[in-house]
Amino acid sequence: MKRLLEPIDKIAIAVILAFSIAIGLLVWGGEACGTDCIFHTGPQVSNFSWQNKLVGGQDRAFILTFNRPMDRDSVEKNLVINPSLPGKFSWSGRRVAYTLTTPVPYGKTYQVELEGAKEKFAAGNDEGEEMQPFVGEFRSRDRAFAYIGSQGEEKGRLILYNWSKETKTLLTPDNLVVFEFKPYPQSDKILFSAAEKSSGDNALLQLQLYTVTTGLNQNNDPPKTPEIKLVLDNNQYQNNKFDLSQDGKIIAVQRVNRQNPADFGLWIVEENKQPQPLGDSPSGDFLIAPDSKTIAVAQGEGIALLPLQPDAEPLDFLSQFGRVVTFSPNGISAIMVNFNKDNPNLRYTRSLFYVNSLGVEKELVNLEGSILDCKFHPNTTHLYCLLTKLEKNGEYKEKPYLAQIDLQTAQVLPVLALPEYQDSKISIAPDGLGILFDQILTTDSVSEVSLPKNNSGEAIIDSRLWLLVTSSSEIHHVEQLPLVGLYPQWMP
Amino acid sequence: MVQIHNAFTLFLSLLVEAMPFLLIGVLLSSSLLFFMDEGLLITKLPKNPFLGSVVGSCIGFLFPVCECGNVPVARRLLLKGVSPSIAISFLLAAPTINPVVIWSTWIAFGEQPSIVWLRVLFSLIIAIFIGFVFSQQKDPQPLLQPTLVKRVTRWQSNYNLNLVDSKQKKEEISPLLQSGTFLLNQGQILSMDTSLAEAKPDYLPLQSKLSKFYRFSDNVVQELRELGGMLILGSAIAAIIQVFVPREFVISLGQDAITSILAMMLLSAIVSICSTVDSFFVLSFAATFTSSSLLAFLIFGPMIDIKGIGLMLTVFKPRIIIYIFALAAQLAFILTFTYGYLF
Repeated sequence: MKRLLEPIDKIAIAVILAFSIAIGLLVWGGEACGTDCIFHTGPQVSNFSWQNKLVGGQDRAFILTFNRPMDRDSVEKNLVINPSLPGKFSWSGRRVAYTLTTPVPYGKTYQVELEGAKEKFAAGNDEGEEMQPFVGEFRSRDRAFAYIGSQGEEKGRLILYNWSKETKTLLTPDNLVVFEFKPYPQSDKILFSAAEKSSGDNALLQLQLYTVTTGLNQNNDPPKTPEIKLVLDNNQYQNNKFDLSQDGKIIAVQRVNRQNPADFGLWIVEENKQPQPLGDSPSGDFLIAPDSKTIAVAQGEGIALLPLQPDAEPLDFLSQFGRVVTFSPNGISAIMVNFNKDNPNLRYTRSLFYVNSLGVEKELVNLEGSILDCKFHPNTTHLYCLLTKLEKNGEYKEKPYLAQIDLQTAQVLPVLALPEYQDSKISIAPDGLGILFDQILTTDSVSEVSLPKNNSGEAIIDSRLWLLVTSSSEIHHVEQLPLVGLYPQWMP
Repeated sequence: MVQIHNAFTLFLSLLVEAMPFLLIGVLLSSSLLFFMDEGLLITKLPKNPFLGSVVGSCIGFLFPVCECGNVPVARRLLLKGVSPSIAISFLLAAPTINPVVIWSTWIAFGEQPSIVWLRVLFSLIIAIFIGFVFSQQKDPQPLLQPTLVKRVTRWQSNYNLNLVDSKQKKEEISPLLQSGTFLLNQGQILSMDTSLAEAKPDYLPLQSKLSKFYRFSDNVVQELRELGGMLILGSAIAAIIQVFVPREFVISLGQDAITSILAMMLLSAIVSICSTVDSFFVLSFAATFTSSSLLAFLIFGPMIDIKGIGLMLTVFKPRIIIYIFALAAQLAFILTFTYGYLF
């Protein structure tokens, strides 16, 4: 005889009933529970990408993710950043990205608050439920720069000045004379070339590469003592100029074989790998591109773009340019110099070109003087350059000046004239605050062995550090810093 | 006229999307029939109902089929004597718990990894639970369609016979002893109360590889004809429903946390989209629906959809499908709604 209900019918019906009751309880519980209990389905921020993060100049956008579709207007109206940071919103689903129009000013703590924004379902015409208030926090890196000391016990030593905390740290020991340095992208280390003080006049021939830890942006109390590590020795090869890739993983060094000066070229040094020569073609000035995969090298009468790999074939050769001055931080554009050798009308003049990856080549300025250095403003809207003006009053004299060049209009605005010619470099703050440069006094008469030297081999006897506070207006404010040293560079 | 045109387009797109997977399922099912020793399969599967359901839900990793391909495989498992609870767990879990679907969900929701692993976790929970519920029914007869029952019971009696006298060789158990059988050419024996698809060559003397292949392809054609028909019917019904209950209407039902889950579940059943691609489909709703409702779509859709119901009817009795459907829907709702409560 057929049974009316099989065991499965009984069980299934019982379970279905039990689940129905459970669903009823869940729904009722959600309603009855109100907005103040853990079982609340109200809209809220489920992720904030910069929560408790240390933000640098390269970080340009944060993302807020909501657990619900939100009423976009209400979010945009109610988002408050304290201190305020201008930016714009872009939505993708339940996520909103806030892209800053200018880099985050360094050395500050920021609060992101959102209150009163409402959820909005696709079909919901009614006012949605209000979200739970959200407070997020992030911090920007400490504002800091490094320079080479030039007086007393600081002479020839690498010094870190933390502007946010107003502390000064001597990073390198007394026995090393530092010549050149490049900060690592996270500011945690600095790569530098230095020679033993005892090497005296031969110091430039005895350079070795080291790294030193900075302790920057780390809350170590008491601060850790800087750790120095040898990266590249000078046993077989003499080390000259070097550059560090933007990702901090590759160092390019110009080296000469001590036994065979004809063995001269670029080497690449990667972490935990033996140094390798990049190729055997002779090369001049060089600069690693921001993609950390390519290097621009002056070769012959042009610029070769080489991949940063041993024995690699050139990717491109730019015959019309003689020098790459700088790359934009995002790597899309570069500033190059054309020495106008092909054009008889422009002979002995230099042209500064803006070149980008879309194939745009735009002449910004043509001058008779020199182009010493240029740096992009972090917004990449304009450029700051250290240029010289040629004066022909009987004898030729170059007068240096700092200029601001608008990349859109190519308008050149001289902002500061410097009294003495010098082979300075300029450094622009990653948050765009200002430009650091030095003003050095040199001598070729005193044969001081332990003094750092400029590129002409003259010993530097005194130096001042200056800050030019950038502004969009024509008036720029310049101040002398109460620090004595040379080659100042902002930490990224 | 436009509606008929739309319905036809939808029908064709559902069919084109599902047919390859049905074919894969049928090929797998046929290879199971010919290349797998069921005795081995049965002894390897755990006897414990709970463990059985767990194993059943994970078989999908071996047979990456979507919700159209899983029915022939589940049917074959049942014919091989696997308990219905394991087959049901497989049926519910296989479309989600398989490498292809997990990978495609990861591609679509890589930025929200919780969606990916919760899809897997919730599908597993539901499949194991429902499998466990069905394991309480010891006699599979009330669950299955009568034609299927006959095959299963006869197989089981044969299998028991095998166990009683293990020395007795397989070929000695003549199916001719059973009622309602007849002889085909080449000495193939087939009982009259079953379709060709369910022929069991294991009882037959060892045959050449070639004839084995012929019978394999025969079986593929037969199964494809039978299940393909149901798929066409199911796709037609799904297409018609989609025309008369447009997606826009279903989406407009999602007004708050609860209704958006329900709307997404309804949408998943109606659109009948294959589990391998449904995460990309549902990604377009990420802006306007809650995570829990997207999750509900991703869990419930592969378990039940309209075009699949036709296929399931070839295996289970209608009221069993209603139970599975109701339990899966309730559990999907409870799990995703609770997730929405907490996150």
